[in-house]
Parts: sequence; structure tokens; C-alpha cells
Amino acid sequence: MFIFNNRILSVDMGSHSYKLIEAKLKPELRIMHYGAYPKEQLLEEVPTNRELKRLGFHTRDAVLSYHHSSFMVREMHFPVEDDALVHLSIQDKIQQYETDFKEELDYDYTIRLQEGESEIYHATTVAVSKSINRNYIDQAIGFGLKPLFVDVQINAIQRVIKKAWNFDYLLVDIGYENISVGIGCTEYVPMLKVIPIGYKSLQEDSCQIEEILIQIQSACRQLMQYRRNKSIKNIFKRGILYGGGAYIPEIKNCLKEKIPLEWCDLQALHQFLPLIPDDLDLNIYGNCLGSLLLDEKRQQGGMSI
Amino acid sequence: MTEINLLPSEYRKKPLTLRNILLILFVILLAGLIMKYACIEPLHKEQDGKQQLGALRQETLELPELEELCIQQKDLFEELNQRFLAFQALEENTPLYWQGILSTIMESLPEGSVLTQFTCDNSILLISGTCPNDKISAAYLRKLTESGHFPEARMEKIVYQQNDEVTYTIRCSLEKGMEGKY
Repeated sequence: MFIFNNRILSVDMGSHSYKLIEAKLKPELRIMHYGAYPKEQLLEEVPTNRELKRLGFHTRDAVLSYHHSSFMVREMHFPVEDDALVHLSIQDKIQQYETDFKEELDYDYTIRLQEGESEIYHATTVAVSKSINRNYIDQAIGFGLKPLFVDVQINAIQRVIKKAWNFDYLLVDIGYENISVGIGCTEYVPMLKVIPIGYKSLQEDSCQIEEILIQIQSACRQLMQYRRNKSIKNIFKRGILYGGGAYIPEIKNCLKEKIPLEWCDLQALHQFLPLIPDDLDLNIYGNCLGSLLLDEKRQQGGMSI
Repeated sequence: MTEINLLPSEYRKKPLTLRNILLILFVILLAGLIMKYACIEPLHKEQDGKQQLGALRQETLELPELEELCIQQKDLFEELNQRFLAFQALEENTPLYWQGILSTIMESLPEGSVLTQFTCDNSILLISGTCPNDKISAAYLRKLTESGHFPEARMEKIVYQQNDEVTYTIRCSLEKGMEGKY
């Protein structure tokens, strides 16, 4: 039972490998054990819960995160009139997406009043394909885990970056099968764009690198333009590159050359995270670590960290 | 800002309701009772039984002492019995005892019969006499037998004289422990 358990396992269910970090949460976050394992190693072992124990992971309470091209992050605005109307409007919007995409969605959202604006509600909604979401959750249950939370990776990475910097930035996560481009800011993620190509395709055919680079540049420019149109305040100057593909020099060089931002990767954050072991690669484990930094408000979702 | 959680509600942990709490308490209580009556009490009984068995074994080990005591008591009993027999023998030689014997011999003597000899040791009486016929001597023998003083009385010798007169000798054995009657 989680009330008596101070440990939690964060699982980043990547398409290439699963990254796991087991940590104690009190009195302060302490990483106990971590590792990245090829997906097949965990999926093929029967029973997997024993395999996790063998690998040194003892707790069953887990925070899951994964990334998929069906992820949608949308920002909506509603006048402050009737709270119930806001919830109904969001549900209507989701139903409309389900009709448009012909797919059932699992979703969650947050509603807040922006500073200085007392008349407009800002709702951030995250939705994902229901079948995909449940497939990941059932897989975790199959490992013998008790999922307590399914985190959104772009939110998770934002929690890590927030430990170091308090300004807005462009995020580029080069994953194995997907590349995510998002706008990170101090409070929320207003926009996320997923490109369904990852560094896997680079390994398969080097000729595609140009195409990938064009798509990344395009996504970055779109989001930057979106942000400029929304507000002239807080125009970001920094770009953060992470994920397994952050070490591919072509991508790094291309971004530095084509997108006029100060680029760095997540390893630069180590100096701000004294409790995190130096050998933990933040580019690889960033999402996983971010899920351990969920604030105490998680209790409302059934957790008591 | 509350965090976004994509874990569907059907996968989330159910909050602990009063019903669940009561159910858990009931299960704990039940488990406690089962533990008490199925495990703890039988264990106590087993321990008590072992203690009793140990005590009995200890007593068994102390048995030679009891045996010694028993032999001592047996010896004492034997000694007391010997003393009692000595007292009894002493009492058999009292005048009161012999007065009873003599009274029986005389009172049983039929009319017409005369005693001629009387011999006695500690166990046998020999009574000799004469009488007009053998019927009278037989009647005397019967009376002596029926008196109850002699465990055995029999005609030792009978001699027929002229005109039916007989000379007889009756042998009576003396009974031990007759002292209570006198």
C-alpha cells in the first residue's frame, strides 16, 4: 500500500528501451537504483515481475510515461461564467476530436486563471488514443507493477528544467520512433508537436536525414511563430535538445545553424541537481526523472507523495 | 496547478470507504480469533501437557524411594503381626480359654457316660470314657462337633465290652483364635 511505501518506480516506456528509476521520496528525493533495458528483455522474460526484482527494482508502485504520435496537447480558453460549462465544453471538444479522428481518447485537463486575467479560464488538455494508453498500462500491470499515475512526458521534462531555469524555452526530444517539439514555460506546456519519425530511421537509411532535419526545423518554426502570435512577452531564447538522438551531431549542428536559439542538452542541468547521481544521463533519463518530481497535488489523483 | 494524469479512473486505486474499513477490521478480528483458538490455545495446552508429563516422569524417577518406603512399611507390618500372634498365643493359654473348653466337654457329656481319661497338648485333645452303648458315644461326638469349639472331632478308638458297653476315645483338634468368644 502506497501510504506505507516511501519508494516509487518511474518507468519511461520508450519505443526502443524502458528507462527505470526507483527512488525514495522522503525526506528528500533519493535515487536508489536505475537502469535502461531493451524493451524485448522485459517483455520476453516470464514472469517479468521477477525479472524486475532480479534487476534490483523492488517497489511495485509506479509512475508511467511514454510517448506516442497520438498525443494531443491543446490549449482552450473559456470566459469565467459557469464552472460546469467549462468542463462540459472540454468534454464536447474531446468528443469532437474522437469523431474527427475516429478513435476513442483517454484525456485529462487542467484549468487555471492566468495571472492578471481574471475573466478567462485557460484549460490545457492532453489526450491520447484510448487503446494505446490502455495497452501501455496493461503492459505495466503485466510486469507486476501498480500504476498510480500516467504522466505526460513533456510535463515531466518541464519539471526537471524548472529546477534549473525559470524562463521559457523550446524543447526538442529526439526519440527512437518519434520526435517531439514543444514549448516549455514556467507554468504549463501550451503546445506540443509530434513528428512520427525518430532516430531509428537514421540508422536504417542515412539518406533520410535531410528530410528529418527539415521536419524538425519546420516544427520549431511553427511553434515559435505560434508563440510570437500569442504574446510578445517571454519570447524564448533557449532551445533544449534531449532524448537518445541528442547525441547525433547532424541534428545538433543543424538546429544550431538553422534555428536562432542558444542550444544545449539536458546534461547541462546536472550542476543544478545535486541529488542526482552524476552518471545518470539526463538526456536519456530526463523524462523518467521528471515523473518523480510530481508535486504533492498528485494526491488528488490518488497518490500521496 | 493539478498535474495531468492519463491513468483512467477504472485503473485508479479506490478510496478507502467506511465499509472497507469495517470489513478490514472484521477480517483482522476474525484472523485474531482463529489465531487464538486454532494456534495459541492448542500450543498452551500442549505446553501444559508437556509440563505434566515432565512432572510424572520426575515422579517415576523418584519411585525407588517409594519402593523402599513400601518395604519398610511391610517390615513394620510383619513385626506388628508377629507381636499380635505372640499376644494371641499368650491369650490361648489363659484359664478363661480352657474353662470354656472344659465346660463344653462336660456339658456335652451324655447321661450314663463317664470320662476315664483326658489328655491335652496345645493342639489336640484326647477324651476317653465309657458308656452303656455306642449310640451314647456317637451322641457325645456329635455334640462336641456341633459345639463349634473344635474344627475337627472324630472317634479315635471304640472298644465294645460285654453287654453292649463301650470304651471310646474321641480326638478333638483345637481351634486357633477362639479367644474372642471368651
